[in-house]
Amino acid sequence: MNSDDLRNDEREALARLGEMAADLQREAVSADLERRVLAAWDARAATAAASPPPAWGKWLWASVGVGAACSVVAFAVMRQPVPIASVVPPALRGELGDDSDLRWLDADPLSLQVVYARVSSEAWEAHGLPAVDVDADGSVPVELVIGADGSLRRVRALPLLVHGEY
Amino acid sequence: MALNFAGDPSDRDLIARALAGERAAFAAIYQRHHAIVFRFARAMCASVATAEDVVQEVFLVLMRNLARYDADRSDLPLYLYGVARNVARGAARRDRRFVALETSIEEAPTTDDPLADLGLARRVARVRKAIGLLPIRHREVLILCELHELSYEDVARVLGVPIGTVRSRLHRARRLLAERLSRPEETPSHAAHKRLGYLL
Repeated sequence: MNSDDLRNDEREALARLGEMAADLQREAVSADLERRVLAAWDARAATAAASPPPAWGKWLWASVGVGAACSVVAFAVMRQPVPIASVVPPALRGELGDDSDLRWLDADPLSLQVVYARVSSEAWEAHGLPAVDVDADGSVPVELVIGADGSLRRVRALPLLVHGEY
Repeated sequence: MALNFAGDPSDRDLIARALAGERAAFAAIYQRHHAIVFRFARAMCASVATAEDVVQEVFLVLMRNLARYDADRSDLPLYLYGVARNVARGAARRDRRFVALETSIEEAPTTDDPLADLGLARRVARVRKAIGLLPIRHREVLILCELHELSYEDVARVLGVPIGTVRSRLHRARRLLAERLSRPEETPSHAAHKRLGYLL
């Protein structure tokens, strides 16, 4: 569009914009702003100098990840999952949360840790466990009971309805 | 959009030196470009304080993204306009929740005629207000094309839209601005009461 296509009121508006542009040229940023920006630069440089080099950090995280993965695999392979009785029969699902049936598992029931996790239904069934309730993404919500020595005492699938409350 | 004078280091050089940790290079980038970012932000936002916040945030973003900035893809000023546009949009949305206080016009005299200065200051305040009431997508095109005189191609790159969209938004923005400016002027207190009534 060239200026010939403009209506009179648009020409007038553009003239007012020109006045505003001249006014904007007169406004200056406060000198303090540059100081703040450069202070941020200094702080960033100081942080970079104090933190470990990125490559070192990357290796650290990689080793933590590998360690965690090994633990999970060892946990799954070395410990035989206790076949369940533990998959809650539909008729008993309402009783989840009542821990009285777990007290026989350890001399000191308070030492038991309950861990909630999701396992793919294929992996679950590969251990001979029936996948009763499977999520839309194909995983089974499970409850793991772990003793004070770190070993798995019991594992069971949770019905989706109950798991959703956690 | 080269702004360099002969002998001055290019933006590309300054970026490379800043990446290597040279503080003075980043300071030079700020010195060279902060004014255009401020003028853009000032036109987009309701107050000087908000505009300064935008400038600060834009240069912090540049600081964080120095390594990712690609001078082959975009000149530094266009890149800064793009960042400023995103930051200013957020600031403008936040500002919308507040009712602006009536601002007194206390401009420093620019001529020997105080009455003329006052009239100019009032007209500018009115244009600012009218621009502030434009939808953001129209406001930013109007500011970039008419106040900063960027080409349609550059504005399209800053906004990430086709050139045709820039043209149509500019056409609409001019029309909306003209309509708002041709309406009789409301007194500030009347306008504030109306907005407060709307909010309450």
